[in-house]
Amino acid sequence: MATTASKPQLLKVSEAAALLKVSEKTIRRWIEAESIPYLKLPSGSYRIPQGALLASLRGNYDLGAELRELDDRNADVTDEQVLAALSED
Amino acid sequence: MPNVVVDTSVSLPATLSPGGARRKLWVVLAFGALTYEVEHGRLELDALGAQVDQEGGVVGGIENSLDRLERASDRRAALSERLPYDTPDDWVAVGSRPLFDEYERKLREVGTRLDPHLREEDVPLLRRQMEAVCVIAAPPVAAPAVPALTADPKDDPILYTALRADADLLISSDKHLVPDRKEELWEHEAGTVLALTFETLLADRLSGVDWDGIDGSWLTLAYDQSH
Repeated sequence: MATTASKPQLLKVSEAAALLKVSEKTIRRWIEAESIPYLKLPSGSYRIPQGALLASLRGNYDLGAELRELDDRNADVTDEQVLAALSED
Repeated sequence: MPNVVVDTSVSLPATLSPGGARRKLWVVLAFGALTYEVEHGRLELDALGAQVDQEGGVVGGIENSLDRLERASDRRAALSERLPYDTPDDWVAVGSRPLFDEYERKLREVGTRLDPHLREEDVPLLRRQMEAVCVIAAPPVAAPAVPALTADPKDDPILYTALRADADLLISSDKHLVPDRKEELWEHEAGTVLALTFETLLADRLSGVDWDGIDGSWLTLAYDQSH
């Protein structure tokens, strides 16, 4: 994998936005709020370590509460039902 | 550390069926994601600082990241307490925009067939569940750059993601990716990856895991913000 801890893969703001399917404005808002780590280059542009960016997703939503709600509703859904629905393609 | 790409034949049941076998694999991947986040997160921040020392610039946003790492460490510990002793903690899922988009597209298709379990407003929530498990990102791939690799163009972005990401395994039951329904080695100038079915994965690669000792509901521990 290209991403390693010793050499973080740094994304431009546009690349980070494309990866997460959010706007560049959202990424810049996260930078301004210091909610994600960033490197501000001497040129004034930003670079964002993608590992920390992906980890930050967990902090932006209450994934546990969302999952509990989904699981409660889908408690009786089986793998076989989902695979059968998939195979109808 | 096996890096794996998981296609919709696994990710959809894993996220939609809390009592299913694929959800148990999802718990193991979430455990691997937390381990990766804890072990590599701080090193990544250190490397960022080293880059500033070499090339100049300013680093910001560190405090929130350190706090996030501490909470991730707590969640990992909570999950570790419940998982069977020999559960691997180094299986890490790789994600990419094409992979997430394909998951969302299939989700909408399947959703109409699973009504009333799945509603339109659930789609972004489920996509976030998918993204949260994929702790490593594949290099960005522009759609026009994806070469024809399989007999079905819809499968090419997934396979190309696995090849570009240098993934070890691609888990899929797709007949174009695993024609013999067991495993298929894909070689390309972009890389090499072994595609195999979920059943082959469990039998050949994860046979030592005590799957009966894993509960799919424990996935919430990986995300619970109380930790």
